[in-house]
Amino acid sequence: MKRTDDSNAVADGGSRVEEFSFETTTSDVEVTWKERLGDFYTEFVYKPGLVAWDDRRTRIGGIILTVYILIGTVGAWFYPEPISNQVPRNLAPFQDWSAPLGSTQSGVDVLAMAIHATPSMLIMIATGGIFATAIALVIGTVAGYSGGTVDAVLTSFSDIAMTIPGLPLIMVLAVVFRPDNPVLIGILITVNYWAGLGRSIRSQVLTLREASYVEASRTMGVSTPRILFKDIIPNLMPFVLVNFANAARYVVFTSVGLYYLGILPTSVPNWGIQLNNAYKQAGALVGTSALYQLVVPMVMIMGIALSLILLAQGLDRVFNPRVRTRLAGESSSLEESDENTEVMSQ
Amino acid sequence: MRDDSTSRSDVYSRRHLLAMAGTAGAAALAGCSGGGDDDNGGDGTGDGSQIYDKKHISRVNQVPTNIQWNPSNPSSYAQASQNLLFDRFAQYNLAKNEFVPYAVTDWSFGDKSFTMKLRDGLTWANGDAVTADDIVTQLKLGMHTGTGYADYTKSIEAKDDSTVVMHFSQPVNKTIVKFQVLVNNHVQQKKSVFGKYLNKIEKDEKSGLHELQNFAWKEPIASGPFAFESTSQQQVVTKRRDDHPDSDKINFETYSYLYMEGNQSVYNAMTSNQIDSVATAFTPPHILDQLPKSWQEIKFPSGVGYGLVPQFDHKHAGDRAVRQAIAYVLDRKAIVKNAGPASKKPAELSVGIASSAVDKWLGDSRNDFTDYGKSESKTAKAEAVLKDAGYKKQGGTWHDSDGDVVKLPVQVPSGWSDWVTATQTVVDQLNSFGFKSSVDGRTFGNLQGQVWPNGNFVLASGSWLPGGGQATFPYFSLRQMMLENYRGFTYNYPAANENRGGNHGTVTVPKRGGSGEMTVNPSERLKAMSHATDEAKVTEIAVEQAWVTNQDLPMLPVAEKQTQSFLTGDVWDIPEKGAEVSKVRWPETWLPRLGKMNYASN
Repeated sequence: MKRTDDSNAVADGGSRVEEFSFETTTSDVEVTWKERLGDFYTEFVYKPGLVAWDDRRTRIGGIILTVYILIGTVGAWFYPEPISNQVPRNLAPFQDWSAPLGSTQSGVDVLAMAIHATPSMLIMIATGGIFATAIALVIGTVAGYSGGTVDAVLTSFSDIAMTIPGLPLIMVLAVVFRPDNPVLIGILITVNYWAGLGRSIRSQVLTLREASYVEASRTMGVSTPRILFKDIIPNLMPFVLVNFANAARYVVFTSVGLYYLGILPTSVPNWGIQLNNAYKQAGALVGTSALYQLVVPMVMIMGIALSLILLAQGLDRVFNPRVRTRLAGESSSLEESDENTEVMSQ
Repeated sequence: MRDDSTSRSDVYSRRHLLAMAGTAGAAALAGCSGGGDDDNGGDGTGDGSQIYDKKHISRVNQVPTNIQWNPSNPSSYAQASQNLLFDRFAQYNLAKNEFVPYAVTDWSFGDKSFTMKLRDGLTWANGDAVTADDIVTQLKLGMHTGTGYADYTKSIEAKDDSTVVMHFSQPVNKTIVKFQVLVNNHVQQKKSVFGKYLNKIEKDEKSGLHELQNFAWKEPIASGPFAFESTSQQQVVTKRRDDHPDSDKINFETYSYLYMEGNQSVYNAMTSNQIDSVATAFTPPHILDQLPKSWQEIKFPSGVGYGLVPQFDHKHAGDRAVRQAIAYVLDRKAIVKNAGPASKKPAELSVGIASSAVDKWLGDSRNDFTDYGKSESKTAKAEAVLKDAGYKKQGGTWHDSDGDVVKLPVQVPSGWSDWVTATQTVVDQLNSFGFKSSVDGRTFGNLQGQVWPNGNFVLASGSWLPGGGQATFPYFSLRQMMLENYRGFTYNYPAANENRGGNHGTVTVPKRGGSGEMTVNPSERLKAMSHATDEAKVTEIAVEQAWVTNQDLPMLPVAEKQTQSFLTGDVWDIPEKGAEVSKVRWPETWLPRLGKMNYASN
């Protein structure tokens, strides 16, 4: 595809572009699929993984998130679903192994409620996060890079989306559509969350498009989509990923809030519903006897929020080229120069 | 300056200051001359003549600005304050099981008539005297809206200014009259306000009724000892009147109702002493233990029971087979154990008769009745009933003959914690069986204001018993189930009253204890029951109509409960715990009238 573009393009002075091409694909060296896969693994899995693992925050965040994923898949598969009268009523935590974290006054296992809320919550988080960042990324980069009318139209569109008050809008939509599919709920919650993110991505793109390497690509006649995908978006990734984690956190808190308020239909188990039941049915805030029913879902919410924050902070490093090359063992001089700088600064 | 104020507050407690303000206020009141010469306020001699500038705060569970006080309009009708603002004709004491005269001081039965004598000196808050004409207007409006006594009353007249006579078409069961006329009525629909609706109805019943039932009376003229003052988003405020016959028994100035939606906020308000009384709030034992010692719990049989009201216009809930399947599936004992076994009992039998009265009224015929299972889920029976009616179970879910999934969302007021717990268990049991059910919790104000009167529900949580002392008498419970639920559900049962979406139609059910079918008209039969003066006839109709409710299930009974009412004794003089006088609906509005809930001045 690239080659076709290039071969059809005519540079100044009428010469064929091929003569000036910097494309590596024109090289005579044959690259096998295996090698390509190997390269891909090194570039996109091994190195980021190494950098990520090196950072304590990513490590802890990643472990916590993995635990949640395990709970949401294996746990929800094996552990019985919450239903009234599955265990004796009003068990305190750590008393009876049929309900390790206690049971409600209806004989529902508190742990089962917490576990079975996880799968739909993870789906909600993923769809909400992907939806918000994807829309923001598309609109932000296209608007920022294209400029002109396209920019004006897209920017006005996101401005309009931004000025609609988010929570009331979500509440109205939730009441009208009564969504019970976690995918839909995830999208519903971030229905206008992307707008602010799109705006900031656009500003980033505005700076990046003037960068020398982007200008170089343009001079060489590289197509716009290719510039966007090769030069612009990779440079935005740290920003986008950090914001993905934040969007995911927003989905957690908003969905819990909406469930707690009873605005979303209660057909899917959720920590918010659990909190609502603990407060309203068990009277968990009067005295301490039912407090555990409040604490369990709170811990679940805090855990996943914490893991997302840690991941967001840690991922920042994954996309930092200097940290990355150093840890992958390709450049020891950088490390030394770091130390030198430190010495010098002392 | 600072020192001075500190020393003053040392000398005068807040209560003393209040008392002094009260004395000044009392001296200014023309109607309370007794306190005028006793200027030595503050020491609280308790001679009953002082009026303290003190506010008693009770609880209401509707947004106050939405409340209206026209009893003929079920939408957003007041749930607590009407008992204070208006005088009941008579009170029914649930401990002694007796009628206590109040606005009607004397009543007597003729062969086909009932005569009531109004209390001397009763006035409306605007100064007009309460006359027999007012009462006649109100009772006549009740005749048109299908209130119970309309079944047997021929005419109502004012004999003189304070005597009202009701003429019956035939002799009537006295207990029925006493409950329906005396206990269920307040002196409320003043002729100067409601007379025009009666005129319209007498000219054109349909449009007149429509207007009456849409009239929201937002600034009521009280007949009780407190007059309506104002409403805000937060509270309803009422002020003590001077010209009520019981005014001299009340020593505080203001009575207000604070808006609290859920039981949880009530618990918090009680724990922090923000309120002084609660008419009814389900309170489990572990919360009771947390309340300050000044709170007194008053328990009495409420005559109210948790049940499900099916929407007869709905494809599935309107289908008798589905209702019977639901009745088979529900394990009432498990539901009650979840929702509060200390204050509730499962309904004995799925009929329109209170559990304690089932044996007495049904006797041996009880064995003929379908036992849907009090403490078990009879799922095999439920499956059989559904399959006979053409339903199929596919992939674990029941579908009707058109292939539609049987969806049964259950509505419940989200703040009624025990009812929500019961509903959650009901929903779990229905889902386990293969219906698609879910809890639809909304605020009580929303449900009672808009949703229920418009019939927007599939299954709604409602009371299958009529409340109070009448609940154990089958005439009332059967009426509540079939003809007119007091909560104002438009449930479109063919046999129901028109204002509940019915047309007094007939119901066909299998014959009891035999083959074949029987067609009866519940409205006609209950009318006949009210006229029946001999026990045998009453029993015969009770059994027959109970059988109809058992087969057709116009409502699904689940539980019966005890009311938990609360008063605080921190700054209020209240009767001692367990006092019989408190066991009425409702103590916090009844006791002040007797001078038994006053501000404790010492």
